[in-house]
Amino acid sequence: MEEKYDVVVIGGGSTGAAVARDCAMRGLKTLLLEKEDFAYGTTGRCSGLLHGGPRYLLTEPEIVEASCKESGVIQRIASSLVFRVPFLLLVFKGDKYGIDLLDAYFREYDRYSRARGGRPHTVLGRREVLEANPLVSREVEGAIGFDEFGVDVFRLTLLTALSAEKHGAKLMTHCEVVDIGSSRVRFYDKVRGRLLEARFEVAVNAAGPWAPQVAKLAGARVELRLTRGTHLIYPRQLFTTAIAMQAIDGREVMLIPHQSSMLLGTTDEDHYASPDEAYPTRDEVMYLLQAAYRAVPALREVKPVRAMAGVRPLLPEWGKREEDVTRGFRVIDHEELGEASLISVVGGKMVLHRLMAEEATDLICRKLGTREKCRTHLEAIDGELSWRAEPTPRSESYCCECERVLASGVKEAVREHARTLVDVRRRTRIGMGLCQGVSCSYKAALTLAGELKLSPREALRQLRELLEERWRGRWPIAEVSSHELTELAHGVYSCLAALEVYA
Amino acid sequence: MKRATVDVAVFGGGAAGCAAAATAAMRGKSVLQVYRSLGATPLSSGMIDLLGRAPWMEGFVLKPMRELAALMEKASKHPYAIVGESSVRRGLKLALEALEPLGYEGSLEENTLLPNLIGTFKPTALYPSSFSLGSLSELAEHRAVVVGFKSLSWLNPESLAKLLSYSASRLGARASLDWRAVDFGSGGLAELAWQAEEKPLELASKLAELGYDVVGIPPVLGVREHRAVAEALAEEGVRFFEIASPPPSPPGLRLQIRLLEWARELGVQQVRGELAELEAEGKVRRCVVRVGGELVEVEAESYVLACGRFIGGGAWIRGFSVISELKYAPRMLPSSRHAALCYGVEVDELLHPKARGVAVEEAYVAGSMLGGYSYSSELSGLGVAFSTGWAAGQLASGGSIEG
Repeated sequence: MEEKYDVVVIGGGSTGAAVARDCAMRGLKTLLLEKEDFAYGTTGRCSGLLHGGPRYLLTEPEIVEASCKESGVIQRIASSLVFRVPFLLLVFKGDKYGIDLLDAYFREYDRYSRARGGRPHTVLGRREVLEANPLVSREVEGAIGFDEFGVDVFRLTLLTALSAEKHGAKLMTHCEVVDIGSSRVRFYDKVRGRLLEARFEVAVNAAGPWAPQVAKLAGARVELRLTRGTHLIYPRQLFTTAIAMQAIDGREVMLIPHQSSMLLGTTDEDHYASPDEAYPTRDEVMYLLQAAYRAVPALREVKPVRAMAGVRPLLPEWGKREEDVTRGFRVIDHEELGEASLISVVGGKMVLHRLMAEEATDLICRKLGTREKCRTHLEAIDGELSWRAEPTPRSESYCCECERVLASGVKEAVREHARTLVDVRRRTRIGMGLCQGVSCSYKAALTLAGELKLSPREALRQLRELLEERWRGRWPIAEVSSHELTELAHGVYSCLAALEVYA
Repeated sequence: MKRATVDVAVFGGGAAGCAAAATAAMRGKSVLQVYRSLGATPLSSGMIDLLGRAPWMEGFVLKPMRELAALMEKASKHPYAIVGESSVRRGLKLALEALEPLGYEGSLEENTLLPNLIGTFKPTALYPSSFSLGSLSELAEHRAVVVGFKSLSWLNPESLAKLLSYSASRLGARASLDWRAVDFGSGGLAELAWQAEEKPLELASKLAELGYDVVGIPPVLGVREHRAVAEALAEEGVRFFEIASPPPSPPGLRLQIRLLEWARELGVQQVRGELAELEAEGKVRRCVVRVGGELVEVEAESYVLACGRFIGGGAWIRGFSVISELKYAPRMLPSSRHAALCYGVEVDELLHPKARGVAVEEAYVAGSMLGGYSYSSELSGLGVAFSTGWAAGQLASGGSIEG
């Protein structure tokens, strides 16, 4: 017999996880269904910033205000995952916005930025910029210094989901919803290969760019405007301050230190294909490099290890360029399901995920007649970070040298709902460093096979999938990336293991 | 500028460079071998592959010399086709001579399927004798155990044993492997190898205690003293095999160290340095190397370039015509040949590279610096290195490569 829930949340991105957490904290019996893994889609491919969004100041000041406020909230409830990122917004001759205009603009931004502990902006002259960062092009005319905050989005989403679990929610990953009927949802567990059902009072569509497809399963309609954002990833940090610069079209492009790497992004291009088919294009890569090389010529000497593309699920607006489309969100109450309800949470920005969840959960509570108030902004989500423990000196060898992960980290990931090797990557950062999985994939596979009792056939299949998944991000930039690393990867997995013969 | 005058100058310290330098030295030439740093050879597993896969075959090549003949017919620009079958035989014979102190075995007619730490078996022609009891045919005969080490916490011996048994079944063979973990030493593969050299008896007794006919261990026998460690194990009655590993791979390091030592023993003069300038048009007009902070002009009768591919750095030496483009396939491990990894220098039938459309008569190219083949998809890495290395050494010293 299938279980009955108050709420079924569809989607395990930052928003879905936050909805599940909010519902569970308000005492609702909650089930979260995710078709792949937490932070698989848009969340896992964002810039990793709790972005205040200075560029929305003129058009959508309310978004800037909410973003800054939410950034402050996340800093409180997930303090160990958040880090301050000092930014230099560089100004060059020929840029769309000059230093004086930007100064006035940022004076306004400071008022909002205070809500999340951002320091007031500073204006730097040419010499000061070059002193602060000698790798910046000598052509620079000046810069605005300001604060943003970075976050580990994988951990943020995972810990939000685990907090929901602690409050009684049930989490099921690799479970794709195939049908939404009146008060009943059918879903397919892709790992175990079985069809399951659950009953609900309220279903929440938090599927991000997949929201239109999910709504359709219930006979409802959601419209979005999808835009693709591409990032290049460098395997090391060239400097610790982030750099914002203006691209050829006047858009802002950023170079952001993140974990052991550095992100260069992003683009904003209408995306008409399925969200499953979001790949970086050569054009986007060259566009980003053009902007970055102009501002930081030394970057030519550093090879990116991969590119990634995510899709923003924006609210539909006709007649606007991608970057001008609203970053606002909406909670839609559909009426197609009869007695039960379907709610869609769409639009917004990653930094707003908790707020979006709060509004959705308020609506759910009204429908279910619950008076519990939201507490998600009051309770912390991060506990101990046991996954990256240090070994005792010289005793144990790392599973992943680049990101310093021990076999125990892989085992810990399994306790955090990792069901595949790629899931382990999202939880531990295995395969995300300099070697892109060349020296650690097989080690993690040996550990995971034991932990999950995988059949040898499945273990080899997952090993190959992790390698191919990493390669999909390397392929678009393979020609400008490290051929040495590619030769090594083939040396290990083709030459030594002949993996393509077995999996 | 300092000047060095020799008969033959060899650039590259890997398998191809050492084979070329040694061959020329054996023919009585004065040889200078310049190498920048370690390349792909020490990253290898230590196995000498001749040919393990062919585009016209589903699985593995089991009779390499036979398929090689077909390959030479089908791909005229393949290095094997250029140097011919007799060079392949002479090159691999040379490898066995060079590696005699390490103990290598195998056959060019029949591949042996050997296990690795990723959990599969791969075909190879020649291999360290410390690998031999792990071959698929041997495993069918013995009750063997896969051993993990406590400090290699990622090496779950149960997973590895099951993967290897499964891979054997995929090849239509049977290998039933047990698994155990022993508490010996600390750190990763390379550290364990050093400790095995220090405490061979402790390792031997721990493996003997397991009570199995045959023990499969990760390659931790040591880098320089591995034979002594092997003897210690034999004294305790432990029959063992090493399981090939990705880098850091001690058997690959042993191979690299021995090859440089072998060339040195034959009178090759070796220096660490890098090619600073190579001007070639019809012949080599100017060749300058940087040794330490100093520039040295090298004057030789012939020059052998064996600088590797991407890892070695040979692919970045400009000025020669190359085969293939740097275009990759959307799958990392495609079933067909990988075009980008065929990238390398184009040569004529005497291994001369072309510069500005004209063959450079005094220069010879060997090893993975040669284009037209992808050693990782056909499993032919060190086989090509020794064959073309021997051929280049022969030609550079005025010899012939005709059968």
